[in-house]
This record gives sequence, C-alpha cells and structure tokens, in this order.
Amino acid sequence: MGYKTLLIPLGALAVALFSGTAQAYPEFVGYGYSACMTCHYNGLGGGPLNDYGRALLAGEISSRLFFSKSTTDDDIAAESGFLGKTELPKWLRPHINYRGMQMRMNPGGGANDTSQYYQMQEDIGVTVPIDSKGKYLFSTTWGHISRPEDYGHSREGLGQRIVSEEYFFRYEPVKKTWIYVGLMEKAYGLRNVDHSSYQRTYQGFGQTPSTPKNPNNPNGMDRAQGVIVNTATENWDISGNYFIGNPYNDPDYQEKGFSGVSEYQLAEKKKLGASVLSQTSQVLTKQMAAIHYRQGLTLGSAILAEYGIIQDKTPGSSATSGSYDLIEGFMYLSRGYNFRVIVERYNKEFKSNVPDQWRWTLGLLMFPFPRFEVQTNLINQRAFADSAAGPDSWIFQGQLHVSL
Amino acid sequence: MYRFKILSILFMLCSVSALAQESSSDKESQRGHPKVPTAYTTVSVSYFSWQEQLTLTSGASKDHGLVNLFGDGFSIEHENYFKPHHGTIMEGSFLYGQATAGGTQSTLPYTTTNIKWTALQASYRYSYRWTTAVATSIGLMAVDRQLSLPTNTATNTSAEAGPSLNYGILIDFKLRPSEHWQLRQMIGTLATQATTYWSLGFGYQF
Repeated sequence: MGYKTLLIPLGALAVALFSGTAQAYPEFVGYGYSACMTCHYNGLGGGPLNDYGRALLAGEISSRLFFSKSTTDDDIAAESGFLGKTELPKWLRPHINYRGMQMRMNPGGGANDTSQYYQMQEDIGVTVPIDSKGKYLFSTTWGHISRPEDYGHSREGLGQRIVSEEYFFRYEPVKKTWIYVGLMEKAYGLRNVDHSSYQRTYQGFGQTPSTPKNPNNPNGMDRAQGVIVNTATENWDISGNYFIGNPYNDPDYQEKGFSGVSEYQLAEKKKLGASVLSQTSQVLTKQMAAIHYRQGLTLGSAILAEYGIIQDKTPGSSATSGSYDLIEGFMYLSRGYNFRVIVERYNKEFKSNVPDQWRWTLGLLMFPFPRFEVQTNLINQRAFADSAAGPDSWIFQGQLHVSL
Repeated sequence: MYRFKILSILFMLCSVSALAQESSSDKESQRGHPKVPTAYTTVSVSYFSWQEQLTLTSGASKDHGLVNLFGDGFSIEHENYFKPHHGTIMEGSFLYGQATAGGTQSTLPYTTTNIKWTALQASYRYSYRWTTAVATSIGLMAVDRQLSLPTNTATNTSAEAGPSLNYGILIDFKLRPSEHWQLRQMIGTLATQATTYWSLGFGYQF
C-alpha cells in the first residue's frame, strides 16, 4: 500500500462517514472538571449534558460577549435549560443536537482540491431521571442518518434513516458505583473530540462504518450494546465494559468483547490512566492497550497525551501490531475561545518498512455564545516511508454545533 | 464552496470577537499573572521534520521530487520578558536525522533512504505569555543544513535537495505542566524549495 493510499483519503474516510458523534471534552480538565460525570449523564463522557453541565457550559465556558455587564454568569446559566428559563419537570430532560462540517481537502491543490459539507449529527433525545437523586435514569438519542449506505445495513427511505444511536439505563446500586446497560460508546482511552484523529480512527472509534460497501475498514461502530460498570473514589475512576456489538452493523462486523478504562488522580487536575480492549468480529480480532494522561494548567488550558498499542488480525492473515501517540496542547485564549495543537503519530506495524504517519492539527474550539460551538482545524498529514518521500496532504475543517 | 466561505466568515467573526472580549470580560486574576522570572534559559530536546524539493539531473533531463527530513535536535533558548506578557526569545539548535528522497517523480527514477543529515538552526522570536503556563511566539529562523544525496550510478542521476542555508517563519506554542518543564509544539515554513516545518519537544527551564 502506497503512502498516498494511506494519507490522502484518510481524512475523508475517517471524517466523512460518521454521524451522531457523541462529543466529550477531556480538555476541560483545564477548568478543573476532570470527572465526566460532573457534566454528562454518562459518567464516561459524551452524550447529553446534565443540568450542571448545561449550566457550566453556558455560564463558565461559553463567551459572554453578547451579554451585558449587568447579566451575571448565574443569569446565563439559569437560561441553559432546554426551554431556557422555563423549567421542565425534573423527570424530563430533552436534547437536540445539530453538527455539520465543511471539509476542504488540499486547498490550492488543483485537481486534488475538493470541498464537501457533511451532516454529522442530527439528533434528538431525552433523558429521564426516574428518581430525584438520579439513582435510576434512562437516556436515549435518536439520529437522522444522512448517508445510510455508510451506516451499517443499507438503509433507504426517511423512516429507515432514523436510528437509535445511543440508549442506556443507569442504576447506582451503591454510592459512587453506576451500572449502565444499553447501546453506548465503548469504554476506552481519552474520548478525544475529534473522531477523525488517528487515535480514534485506528482504535476503531472513528465511527467509520463497517459495511460490505466499505470493506477496507473492518472496524465496527464505536458504540455497542453492553454493560458498563463505573466506580469512582476520591482518586480513582474505573470502568469495565462488556459488549456484544452494534445492532446496526452488518452481523459480520458486530464486535463482541470487553474493555476497561481507569484513571488515577495524581494531584489536582492531573489524571493518569490506562485502558485495555479485546474484541472479535467475523472480520477482525482487535486487541488494544493504552496509557493516557491529562493535566489542567492555568485556567482553561490543558495537556493531553495518549500512547497506545493496537493489534489487528483479519481472517487468513497474520496479526499486525502497531502503535499511536497523541499529544495535545489546549490553550485558553479568552472565555469561550481556545486554541489547540494536536500532534499524532501512527504506525500500523512495528516494522521499519511500514510508514510512520504524522498528523498535525492547529485548531480553534470556540463557544461564541451558549448552545453554539464552532471548530476550525487545519490539518497537515505527512508520512515517513523508506519507499518514497511523498507530498503532504492538507485538510481544512470548519464545524458548527448547535445544542438545545 | 459557498458554505466554505460562510464558515470562513463565521470563523473570522468568532476570532475577532475573541479578541474584542479579551480586555472586557476576562479577569487577569483568573488567568494568572506570570510569576516566572523575567529572563531565563531553557534547554530542549525535540523531534523535527520538514520537506525540501528534490532536483534530479541526468544529462539533459531534469525532474523534481521531494525530500523528507526528520530527526531530533537539542536547543538552547533564552527568553527575556520586557513586560509581564511580552518578551523576546533567542534560540540556537543542533539537529540531526535521516532523509528519504525521491520515489514520486515521474521521469527520472530515484529513491534513497536513511541518508544522514545535520543542521544548525537559529531563531529570534517575539513571545506573548498568555499565563504562567502558556506562551506563544513568532519570529524568523535560519537553518543551515548539511545533506549529501548519493548519485544513482546505474542511471547516472545526480540528486540535490533544497538550499543548504534556508530561512523561514516559525511559530511555537509552549505549555508548562510544572515549574521547570514545558511541552513545545512548533510549526513553520522554510522560504526556498521547502515546505512545512514541524517540531515537537520537551524543555527544561533553568
């Protein structure tokens, strides 16, 4: 496989085909929020925000440029509910999310200069805290699939394009221990917001579909039906996940296995973690392990790092073992505006003749006002191979996210 | 393309509003005044990479390809802050690594790999320290690189990379996870027959 085959379509492959992405921001450890449970109904991060998460995003993280000085952060936070200040019953927490992205490949690259808009997320869902303390809780998210041919089974017609992307029942049998049952993102690694990153793509969490129409990617979907047990202590956060596959995947691609992720708080805003995963489908057996670290710096700024090993084995071939790194510098510029530099490396096999792929991302993550997020990324990809010195590829992404 | 332009405009508006609110809504006490010294020296170890244009010559025939250079380097830099947030940086580096050349050109066949190179690099940059832990700098750099590409004796094709002395623009982003250690990410571009320059490293401040 040539370097061009590896590099140029990678961004498109990884980005173009996902939808309904659950977003989480491990970078917010820079604000002092290192536990996902603080803001999300799912304690592993991603998916709908709880009341506190909504208030925090509006009243602390989003820009207040469009608010008068007399409007306090508490006033802004008080308007963060689904209907603004109008309170809904405590057992009803709906959410609507839209996310779209314009991606331009190789700007200025002549025939290779292409641009396309992707509908990434068109979701509606509801979370039902069954009791007042949140001991019992149910959450579901339904999404419209813009490219059904890329989402598991070939689906046609509007009615068949609406799928349940995530659902879970959460139960807290003992204090600080939660059991989740349903269709959820697998417990593994840093839940990097960028599903097109090398880290998420090669972990198999890029939500790149696994269909006969896309046979080059044997990975299944990042969400699978299963059970997650999550327990948190003062310094530890440990989760184990047993899963049996995503029902929207073609049967051959449904992955069964287990994973686990744990983080230990070394000190305030410093979390060191490790993850493991083992899964098997008819087309791929995957084993992974990773260590990860995230640290908050001064207000809003953070460092994230992850190193992982991935072993893939497809039927009839020998296993390939490789590794990846991710290092992200996340810089708070002013309230609502953050700049980040992400450096990633991926090597499919520990062999000198297999190219090292590098990906450098310069991006802005902006929350110009509550419920509204803008991301821009300029991505450079370069491969180091013995066989050839090939040209870099460039990608520009602009992303809008509106959340109600 | 239309939506791309819309997004670009939106991006610029958001960026401008970020700067506009900088002085009005942020509390300096929240962001943290720099408490690090006004002048200090940092030693860094970094990974570097950039590309240069490859020129191949065989008799009257010419062709062009690329040279990938990657390797490690040791740097020493001195930062001097004349205001709490504003300062300058002088840096010198010794770089060494390997290069892969050719393989994508169409006319003259030529590929070589694992060619050793060394380089000296110097830069002078303006630095803005956002907080005690985060700083950004931008400035000019010069790279004096020693690389000798072998001749393909079978086809009598000689190969030459870009100029040994090159200049460019360099931007760096520094994050300090502890009082003395820092993560450093750099991006730049070299001016002549070369492309994007990247560096990732860790530094220790004395």
